[in-house]
Amino acid sequence: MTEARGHIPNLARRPFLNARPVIRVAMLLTALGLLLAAANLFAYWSFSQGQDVKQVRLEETRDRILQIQEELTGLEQRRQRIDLDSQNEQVQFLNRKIEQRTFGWSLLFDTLAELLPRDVRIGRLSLQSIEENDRSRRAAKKAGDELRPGEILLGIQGQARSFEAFVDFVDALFGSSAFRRVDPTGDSKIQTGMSQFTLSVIYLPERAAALDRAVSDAESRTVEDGGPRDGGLPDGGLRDGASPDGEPPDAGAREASSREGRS
Amino acid sequence: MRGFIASVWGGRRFWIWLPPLVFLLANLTAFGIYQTIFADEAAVVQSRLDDAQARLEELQGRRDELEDYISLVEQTRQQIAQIYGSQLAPEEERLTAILREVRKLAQQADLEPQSTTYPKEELDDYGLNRRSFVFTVQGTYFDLRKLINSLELSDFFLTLEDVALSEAGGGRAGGQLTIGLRLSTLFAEPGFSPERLAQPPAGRSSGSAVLGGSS
Repeated sequence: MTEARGHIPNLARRPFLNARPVIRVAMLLTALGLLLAAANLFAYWSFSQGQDVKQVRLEETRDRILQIQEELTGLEQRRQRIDLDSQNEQVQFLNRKIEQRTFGWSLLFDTLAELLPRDVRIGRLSLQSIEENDRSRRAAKKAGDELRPGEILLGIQGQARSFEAFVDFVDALFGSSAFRRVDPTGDSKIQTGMSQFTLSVIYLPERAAALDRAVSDAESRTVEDGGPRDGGLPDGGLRDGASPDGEPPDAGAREASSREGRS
Repeated sequence: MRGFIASVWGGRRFWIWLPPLVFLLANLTAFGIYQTIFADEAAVVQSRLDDAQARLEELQGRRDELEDYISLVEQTRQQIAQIYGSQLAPEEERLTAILREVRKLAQQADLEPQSTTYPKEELDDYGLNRRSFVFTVQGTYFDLRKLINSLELSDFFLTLEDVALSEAGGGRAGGQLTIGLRLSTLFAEPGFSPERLAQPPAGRSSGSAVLGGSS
């Protein structure tokens, strides 16, 4: 029986063989191939498109570079034609002139009146116009370089009853933040026994204004507190002299001393 | 087993799986070629583009800087020209008005100059003339402060340069002072162009001053 089963003849004209694995593999390969083909096509398309765009942009950028280089050449030529030193010098000159024009003489008078010792009077105040003096232009320029924006070079002539009074005045200028670079240039005895002096000093109007405000505030506080009006001032008599009451600052000193004499 | 495989994959079934395999391999080859050749080419073009753009930005920066610089210089030059054309206009346009103003201010302060001198000084470097008004008056310290106050408020470009005080009559005049004053103003030279100052040799580069910055 077993032997007979082993020799069962297959009578099918085409013997059965399972073809499904082959077909499935073929389908899978086809699908992968199609996907890859699609990816390749897309990559090539985007590459060719991107390359075109990039080439165009590259050309545009190069053209723009050439254009800007030409502009730069023109600008450089313009820059080289500018004489900046002359223009800066002119601007500094005009700025100084504007500072002199806007200079507050009233504030200077008030500031000096507070510093003047009793035995000193001022006879002449002048703004030093250093730029225009051709004879000492080099030295003047050197001095001018020391002037910072907003500062004014002042010349002062005056008379002092004694040398000590003159020195006290110079000390007061040194001690004030409204002045710097005090430079006494000379003093001499005159017939009346007084000492005549000259000096130059750099005046700082902004500092002087700040000091003035501080003094005004102190005054108003003193008045509000009911204290004596002149008590907070460094020199009340000189302050009187500075006010427009018909007396110059130096005369104020004399007036103060005479008031003291009367009292 | 070999016979089984050969019978399943071989023979006529060979044509079922071989073409898809060839198709897949061909696409893989194309993909490899793209990665090695075209991608490199794209990277080269991109790199050139990046370089060019960086160079462009650098040049644009330099150009903007230079334009700002020239514009500042030009702006300053225009401001100078404006000042020369208005506040410092030539004498024929302003002298008489200034003379009247000086006289008016002195009178308002009860100071009457008996005589006035008008010295003139040429400031060739700046294309300007400085005209001074020098006079001596008798008055009180209060009058002087009034005059100074009026001068500070005046619209004219008048500068008080010098004040000299002395007691009138040797101190016997009761608060009367002899006051010497020197006022001055600047006039542009006729035909002077401030642009003349901005022409000349090459090779200057550092910063530019700004007009009116400190006042």
